[in-house]
Amino acid sequence: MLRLPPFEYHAPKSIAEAVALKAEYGELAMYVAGGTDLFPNMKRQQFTPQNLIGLRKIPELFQLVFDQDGTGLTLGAGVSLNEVAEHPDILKNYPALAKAASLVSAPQLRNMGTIGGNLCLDTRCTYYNQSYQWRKALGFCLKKSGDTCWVARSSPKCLAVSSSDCAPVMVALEAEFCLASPAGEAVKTRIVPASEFYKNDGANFLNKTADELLVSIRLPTYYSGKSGIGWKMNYRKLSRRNAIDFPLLGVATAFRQKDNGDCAEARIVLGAVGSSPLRADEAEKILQDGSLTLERIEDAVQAAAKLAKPLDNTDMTLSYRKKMASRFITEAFNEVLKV
Amino acid sequence: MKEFSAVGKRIPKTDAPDKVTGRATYGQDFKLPGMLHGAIRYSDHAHARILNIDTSKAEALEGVKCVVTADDVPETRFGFYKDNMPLKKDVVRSHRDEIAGVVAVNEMIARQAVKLIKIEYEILPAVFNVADAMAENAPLIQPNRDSNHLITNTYNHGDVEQGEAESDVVVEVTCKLPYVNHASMETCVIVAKFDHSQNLTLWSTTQIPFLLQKDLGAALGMSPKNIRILQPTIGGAFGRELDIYPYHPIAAIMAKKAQVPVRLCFSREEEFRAGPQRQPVEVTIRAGAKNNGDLTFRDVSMTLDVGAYVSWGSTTPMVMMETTASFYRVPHVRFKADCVYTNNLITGAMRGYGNPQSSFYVESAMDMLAEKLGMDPIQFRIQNANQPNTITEQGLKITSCGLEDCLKALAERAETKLEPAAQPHLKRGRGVGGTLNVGGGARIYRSDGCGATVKVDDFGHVSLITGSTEIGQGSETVLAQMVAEILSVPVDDVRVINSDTDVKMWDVGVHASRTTFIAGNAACLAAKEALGQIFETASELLGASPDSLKAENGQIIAPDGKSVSLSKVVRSRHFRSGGQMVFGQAFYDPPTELVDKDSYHGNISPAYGFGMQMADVEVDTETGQVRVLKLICAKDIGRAINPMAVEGQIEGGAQMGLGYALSEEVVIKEGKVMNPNFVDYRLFTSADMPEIENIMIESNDPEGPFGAKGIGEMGSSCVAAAVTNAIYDAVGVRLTQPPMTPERVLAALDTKAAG
Ligand SMILES: Cc1cc2nc3c(=O)[nH]c(=O)nc-3n(C[C@H](O)[C@H](O)[C@H](O)COP(=O)(O)OP(=O)(O)OC[C@H]3O[C@@H](n4cnc5c(N)ncnc54)[C@H](O)[C@@H]3O)c2cc1C
Ligand code: SF4
Repeated sequence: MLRLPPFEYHAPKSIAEAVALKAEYGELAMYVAGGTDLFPNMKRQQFTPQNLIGLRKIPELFQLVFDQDGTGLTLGAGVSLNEVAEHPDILKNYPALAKAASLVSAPQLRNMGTIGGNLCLDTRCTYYNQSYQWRKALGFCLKKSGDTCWVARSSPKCLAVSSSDCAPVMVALEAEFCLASPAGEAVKTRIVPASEFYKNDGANFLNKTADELLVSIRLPTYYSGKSGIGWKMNYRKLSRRNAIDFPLLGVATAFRQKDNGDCAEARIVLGAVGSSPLRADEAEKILQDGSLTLERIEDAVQAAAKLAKPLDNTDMTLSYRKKMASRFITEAFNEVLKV
Repeated sequence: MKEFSAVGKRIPKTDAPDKVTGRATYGQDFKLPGMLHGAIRYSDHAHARILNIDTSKAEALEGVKCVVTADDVPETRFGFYKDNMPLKKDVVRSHRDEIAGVVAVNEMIARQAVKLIKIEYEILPAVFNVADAMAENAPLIQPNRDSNHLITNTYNHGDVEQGEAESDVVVEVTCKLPYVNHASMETCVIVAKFDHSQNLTLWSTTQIPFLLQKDLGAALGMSPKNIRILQPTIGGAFGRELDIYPYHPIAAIMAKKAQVPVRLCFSREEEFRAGPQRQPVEVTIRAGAKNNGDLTFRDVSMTLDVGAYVSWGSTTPMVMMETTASFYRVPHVRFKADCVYTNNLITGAMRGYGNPQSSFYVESAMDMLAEKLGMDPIQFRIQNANQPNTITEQGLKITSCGLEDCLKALAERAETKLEPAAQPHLKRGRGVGGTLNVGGGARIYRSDGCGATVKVDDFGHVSLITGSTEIGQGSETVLAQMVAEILSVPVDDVRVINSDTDVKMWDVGVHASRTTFIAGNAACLAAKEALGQIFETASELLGASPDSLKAENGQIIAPDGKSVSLSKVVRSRHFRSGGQMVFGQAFYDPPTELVDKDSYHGNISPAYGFGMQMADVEVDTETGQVRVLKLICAKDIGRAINPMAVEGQIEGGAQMGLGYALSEEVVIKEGKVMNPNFVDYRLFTSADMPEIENIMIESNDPEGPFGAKGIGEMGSSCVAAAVTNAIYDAVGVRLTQPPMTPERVLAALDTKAAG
């Protein structure tokens, strides 16, 4: 068995305490929520923190509050994926998010894993998610300790894949992330839109400093309206098995339809095809403000599929994943428009 | 027939509660006072000359007790081609090669220290497939050999040319079967300890305690009589531990140098890297039939990449030839298998032992023939099915045989047609596949026997001391049921002791679906002897002749209705002048023979099991994804000693078989495993499992204990065949390479669409 290396565990009871600990231990410390991503990575020495700042005892991270005035939801970063998947109000108001959370891994991991951890999930690559000895024998790569990318040797940057199921949904729903960091004795906070939180660089994929703590996620309201008017949203995941597998392709969609059925607004975000969720602006433009004819949908699918430039660093062959993009996006559209 | 009290009952495995609640002491949990921990340093290259090994930094690390290298041991070789050694000195031949080991106060430090060992290599050219390995001027992997070609196995009966001339239809298909891993929940563990007299005690997850004594003796240059092997609770093995692997002697070498007990426990990655895999095969089968549906011939040739060292994978052709020659009645058969060394992974035994591979190509060809003949695939198989009390051309003495009954049961189910799929891009299909498996061991060694002792104590408690090994298959429960049946005591009163080579009598190991049959027969014989002693004493107490007595519910009953309790009989026999204990002993070796070493003819098993499965699948023609909707398993099991345990074997086998069919593959690139973990190596999960229907055909084997035959392997062997035939039925493309992944299915569909 690979064992966890030794570390000191801290259990702060407030955000202030947590960020203060991070300030104190600096690079030697990391935040840990459910640990379902971090612990396997520590066993394989992608990370070697001496101090872990546990987030499970901080009440603010567990809030799940719908505003009185109906302007949206504040979701604490520490809420478990199972709760996100099963909470009746999330199921009703943000079905795409509930679905994405429900499709992560397996029940045990969804009980431990948090939404915050999922949104900060490390990028993945066949050459990176390996043990130390495995990586060392081949030679370390760009993402960690090395200078070559084994997937594309000429690439100046790491191409590891953003593999979070919930991240594309957050981008599609234009969520905002609230981050806290130490500022001397005090706590500094800032708000970042989800789309700016992610960067398309596998080694440096979050617009977040190491000492920033993701406190909560703020989701605007989406009225679903009746009889096909209002917002419809969905998340669809391509994976080999019905459990455990990370997405090979995730498609988050949100459409607002007019009374006449035309598309008023379209949001299309692809997951697991780049180092960040990719918003399909062009496809959105094609659908925006027009009737949803088969031709336009097909054009939008093609525009979206163009974004998917899979590399040989995840499950399934390149050519398959390339082929799948348009077929799968078509199905995703069909599914959401039927909802 | 007398009704059974224990046999045939659905009893949860006796060890289940402890396993489920975490109380069982697995090898992983096992600790000894003063025990230290070991870790192994493997090669960084697929083929290289070792120029220098510098262990100084590892030795200097705090917490490190010692480092071992080949210099610490006399040069020994082991394996049945004597091509392996515990620690490699001059040349490494694959990424799995062990170069050094570290003993430290904990596993963390040991693994950390291993990384500090500096090895200088001169990289040598390597070969990663059979063609390259066989090319002229290919680098030689094993010294002292002329080429990388290891061995050719050939088998013949009849005259294939004549068979082909008599055929009205002929088909040919080439299949490629992948590497898969046993993926036992528990990884390999070993704890080694020397006493002051240099006796070695080993706690090991081995499946072959007695053979390991011998092999380990050879690997360590010591006498097997000084080696004692104990087996803790074993968390699955599936054939993985059917051989000696370098880590066994390495643990002993570490313990010897450290002078304290040392524990070595594989990580999951090591399981993939250094453990054996199921044998991959590239095989072409030609087969024919007459218009009336009779089979005419089979002609099979295959190549096997056995890796850099020989283990059991190289012997899987023996089983594949058995299926090729004897599964269904075929008058003319030719079989040829070439085993070749490469710088890849080693291959070993794994559940089914060649049958998952042979079932796949034989049953693919059967469906292709049926289609050409325009026959129903099940009727075609019924027409050619093996029959009871026949001897195959190869010399297999088939006694009980429920193959036709299995097929008829499936034919009955097949009358209910598949519901069409909900959407036009989803297509449904149905396919069958079957297997012939030894049903009670296989005589690969001169002995295929097992010893047993049954003793009854003064309180009426029964111990069965059996040579056999429990690896999670449930043998403790079914053996207890058989002994309980004979002695007429509750199953709970029987404890099975099976974990110490100093205590138990010899057994060849847990493999070849043999434990219920062979260890079962041994246990029954021993129990009957004990019962004879009980009757002898009871007859004195009850004043009735021994053969007029019967045992029931822990009582011995005379014809006149008088009775005495079993425990009282034992005490009466024991506590008297010249007293005796109640104990029966037996060694059962089945009436079988070694196959002829050149012709491979001979009857290696006392019974043969047959199994058929029918899969209903739905293929998504857009994504290539295959969903199995239902799996019906019809198995000739002789008799179900414990129907619940049989279901467990069949359903567990189905899970393994579905993984082989659809999702599992050890991916290697230049000899290096790319997916050595359970995220990337894709086991079939519970969320992927279809509905399973079990049909148990009880053919009541004449030699089997209570008529039972082995069932351990059959469940997994024929799933891939049934699935590939079902995919063909659904979408008209024949997949020849498991796992039949979405990309392979889609590629086949695209090729078909392109014409
Ligand atoms: C077998 C397996 C299968 C998986 N399958 C999937 C899958 O299908 N889809 C998927 O999306 N994920 C999958 N995961 C990944 C993971 O389980 C989930 O993404 C989970 O939500 C991570 O949450 P966590 O709380 O466990 O994160 P942790 O492991 O605790 O943290 C992950 C990272 O985020 C940081 N972090 C966590 N919380 C915060 C915070 N509040 N502020 C700042 N930084 C923070 C940590 O420092 C760490 O770097 C899988 C994991 C495994 C082991
Ligand atoms: S994409 Fe390249 S640099 Fe990034 S993890 Fe993979 S191999 Fe390393």
